Amino acid sequence: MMLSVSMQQQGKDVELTGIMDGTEAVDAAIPHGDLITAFGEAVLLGSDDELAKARAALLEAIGGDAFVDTCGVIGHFERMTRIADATGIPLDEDTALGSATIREELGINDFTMASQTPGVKD
Amino acid sequence: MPAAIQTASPSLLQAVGSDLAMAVTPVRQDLTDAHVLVLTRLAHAGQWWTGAERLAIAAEARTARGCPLCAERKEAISPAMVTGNHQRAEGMEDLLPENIVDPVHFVINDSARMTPDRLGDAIGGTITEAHLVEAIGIAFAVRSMDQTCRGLGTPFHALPAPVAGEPGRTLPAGLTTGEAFVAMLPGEQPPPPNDDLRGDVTACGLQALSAVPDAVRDLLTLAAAQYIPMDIAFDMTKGRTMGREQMELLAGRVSAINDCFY
Repeated sequence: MMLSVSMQQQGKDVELTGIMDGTEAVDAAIPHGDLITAFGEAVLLGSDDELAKARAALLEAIGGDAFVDTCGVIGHFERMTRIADATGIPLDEDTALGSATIREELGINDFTMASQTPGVKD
Repeated sequence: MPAAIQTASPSLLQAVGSDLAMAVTPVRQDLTDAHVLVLTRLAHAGQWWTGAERLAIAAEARTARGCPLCAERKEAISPAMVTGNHQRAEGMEDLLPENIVDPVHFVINDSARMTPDRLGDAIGGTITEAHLVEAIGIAFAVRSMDQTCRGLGTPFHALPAPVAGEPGRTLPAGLTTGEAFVAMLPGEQPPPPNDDLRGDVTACGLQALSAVPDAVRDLLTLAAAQYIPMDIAFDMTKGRTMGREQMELLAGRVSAINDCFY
């Protein structure tokens, strides 16, 4: 949902399927979104060789400062996703309301922890 | 007055600076400083664990990355179908009670399948729910820094030597139960001495570890450098050199890979 809002701030819509389906499905409206996604996938899932290639491609495309930001964001969400799941917190009320359609369309409501948010799963 | 240590260790500043100097591109000083501060705090006694125990939990969180039992369990239809012994952090085996090792490994490798029963199974003997919350906070702080380092192409930071001291063993006033698997402070700003935990932001993600307020402070420290300061995190016009839409795309993809609903 925050991706949608950030694009709306720029007067743009965004196709969100890249979040679930990965690099090939990333909306071209997000600058270097494919390379950013590929790098994130390589940090989480890739071999050291795959990571080195993804790192070099991204660094060349977005430059050093944005590359460092990218690494930090990955680290942050590696933490926040686990905090949320390990402690079983519900979605914030505003987020739950604002993301209902997106969650349904992307299949996010099928995730196990969806049952922790009232009204998402019976 | 925040309880968390606010002064970074000079020796750690040098060590972490040396690590991050190996990155493929120069790293911002605020990111270096955040890693140093959290590592400094890690070495000291917390509310429920000594410094040595906190470092042992951190080492277990790292060892879990390559734990064969965790890998087998992750592939199973149900984690309960796989039993056995975890790969343990070398030299740390005697520092932690056995029942804290499994939850630390589990939250690193399979947190999306956490249940209240699985958390409850770890409680007993000397381990309380607050011990678990602090351990989870330590494990995730280390994971967060390690994954940032992996992206940057640097070594993981060496864990510091422990600092002697006893845990505070104090729960914050006002904890409530029923909303999550663990007790949390309510969404509004807590009273002193924990009135630094929220600012203007109400978010369940900030409540989750609030049974151990210093774990939230560690989160805020790292978040401000690795993502965006939490008091402006919900202002979608705020970004870094990396555009906000790029940040949120990546956030969403990392969440999806981790099967995270949140």
